[in-house]
Amino acid sequence: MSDSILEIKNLHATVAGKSILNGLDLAINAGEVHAIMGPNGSGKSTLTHVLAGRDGYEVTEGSVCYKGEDLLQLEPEERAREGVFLAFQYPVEIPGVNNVYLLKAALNAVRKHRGESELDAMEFLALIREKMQLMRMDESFLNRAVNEGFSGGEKKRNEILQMSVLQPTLALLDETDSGLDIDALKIVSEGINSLRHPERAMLLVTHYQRLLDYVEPDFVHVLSKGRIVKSGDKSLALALEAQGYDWVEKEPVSP
Amino acid sequence: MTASPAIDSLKAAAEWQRTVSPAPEWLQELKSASLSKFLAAGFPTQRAERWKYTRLASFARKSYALPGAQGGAGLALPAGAFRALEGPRLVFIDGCLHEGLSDTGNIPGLRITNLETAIGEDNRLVREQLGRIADGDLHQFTRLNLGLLGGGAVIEVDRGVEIRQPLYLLFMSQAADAPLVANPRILFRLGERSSIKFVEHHIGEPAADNLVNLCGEGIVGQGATLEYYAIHEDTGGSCGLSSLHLRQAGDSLVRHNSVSLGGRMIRNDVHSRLEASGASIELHGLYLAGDRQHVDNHTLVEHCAPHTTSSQDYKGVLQGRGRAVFNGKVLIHEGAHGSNAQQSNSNLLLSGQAEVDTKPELEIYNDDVKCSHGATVGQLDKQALYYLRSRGIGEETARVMLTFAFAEAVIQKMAIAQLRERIEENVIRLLPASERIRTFL
Repeated sequence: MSDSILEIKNLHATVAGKSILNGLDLAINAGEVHAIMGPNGSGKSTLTHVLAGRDGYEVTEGSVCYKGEDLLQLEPEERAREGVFLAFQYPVEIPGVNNVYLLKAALNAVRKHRGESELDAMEFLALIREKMQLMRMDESFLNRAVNEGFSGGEKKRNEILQMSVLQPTLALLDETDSGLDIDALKIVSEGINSLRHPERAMLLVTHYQRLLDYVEPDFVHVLSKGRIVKSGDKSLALALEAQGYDWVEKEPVSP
Repeated sequence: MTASPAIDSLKAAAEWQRTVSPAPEWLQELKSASLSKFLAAGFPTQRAERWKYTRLASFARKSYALPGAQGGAGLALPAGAFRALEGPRLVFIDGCLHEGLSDTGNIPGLRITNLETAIGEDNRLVREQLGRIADGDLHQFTRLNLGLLGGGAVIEVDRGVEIRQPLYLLFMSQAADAPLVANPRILFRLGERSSIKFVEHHIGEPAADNLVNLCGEGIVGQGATLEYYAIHEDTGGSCGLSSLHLRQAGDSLVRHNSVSLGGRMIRNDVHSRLEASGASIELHGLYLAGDRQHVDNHTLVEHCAPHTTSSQDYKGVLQGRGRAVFNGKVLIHEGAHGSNAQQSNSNLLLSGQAEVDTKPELEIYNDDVKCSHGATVGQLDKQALYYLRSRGIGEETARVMLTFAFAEAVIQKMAIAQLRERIEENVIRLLPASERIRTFL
């Protein structure tokens, strides 16, 4: 059996006093790609933000074990340095901070944490250029402010670019397919696929099956009312696409 | 009721000026009338709506003298000048034009005349424009400026001419035995489809405690473009008043960038009238204030004609006991249909003792217009902070990064690279954790 990356047990979480996650269990091993699907409001995005450590997302019960340690004790930046990466559904626009500054500061923070030396400007640019080519991003992108005025597709490509620079152990992708046209979806999917690795785990959160045509998951879970109500292989996603979420929500929860 | 040491000293200064350098009769009348009105009203107090949050009492208690004659050959370009800027320049020392340090550059289509010379030659532009654009009822200090008229320049750009190099206007305030009052005046006219950039730059010696009262009056012709930079670097203990008054013809464009980086007291006024269809003005402002510093930005944009456009975006970073005021007013006159006005002011307060008073105002006498305004006062954007931290960037570094970014977003709007670099460096120096900012740049 592969190494465990993430083990979530009986997770309950509230946002602004409202309970969103209600006893969620999930285990992800190294090398695996899991997809979480579910209707709007089922708690998909909340799960990713709880794992990334967002303020205001309060865990009231349960545990999250990441590489054998209690993830919930860590600050967001510590989680990131330990290898957790969240690709945002709505990447934040930050006027005045250039992409190149963000990427450099982030990479060096992660490298420092790993006990590696910081990259000098030349090494850094060489690395970034290689990754940008993969995401088919223009050089001018480096000197633009983070996500400011980016199209939906550019924002999502930027998320995957950051991920490929930071090389996380656990990648959480929150509706990375939303708002993408077919060409952008292909580029983003290629980027994600290039990061599949025996030592890396991925959790794809998605509303539609579309992304899973390009990034094939090993496991598919259905989230409803803050719990996983059904798990299966990739055929489950196709069944959901055909029959809608009502079908699983009405079925009794498997023990 | 308005007697104060300042008022008495200004009265005496006017007497002295009339005796030693008498103006032509028409001008002397204009000056006297203007000065009497100012003196009768006195320094504005906080009872006046436009001065509600800016207290000039300590400056009204001083006794001011006129600066002595300039033009000494020994003086060098002050250390704080923007040396990297290439192009024509006018240097004003305590409000007086210093010809030795100035260089009008002999650029075809650009005529720059010493105001004193222009008055002597009975220059038409002076006759037509002096005191005609600035509204003394709204801007009392323009009356003082005219009443005690100091040095100045008359700038004309011929129709169709594009001046590429910026015209640099440096205002240096020196420490003197007694506080000085400086009243420089800039008059300009941009011909049809012409374009020019002005860089107004205020610097001061730390020990200076002068009253620097600049007034600019200009007409921007049909289809002409004016790019205007008004920059206050630390002006020491002086009170820096800078006001710009514009009339814009159809399809003219004004891009105004204001940067105030500290000083005991800074007050900027920009007033533009969009007088014909297609005229537009964009105002971008950045101000930083810390302990014992006060920055006040007042704007007034009048939409007098249909299809005129204005936007205002001011950002402030306040530290320590820094104080700032923003009052942006948009007035849409009857008949100015299809006009579009946007306004925003955001402030970052880095300390609990810092204070800002912000008041966006819209007065609309028309239907069929598009207007928006908003003001924020507060802390850093939590979403952005989370985003940066989720990339492994520590909270402190993320805060520093976002604080710098807040200012940088305004600096990036400036089209002159040498100015951007200089301002950026100064902003970094003034913000907390300068060293940390440098590590990620």
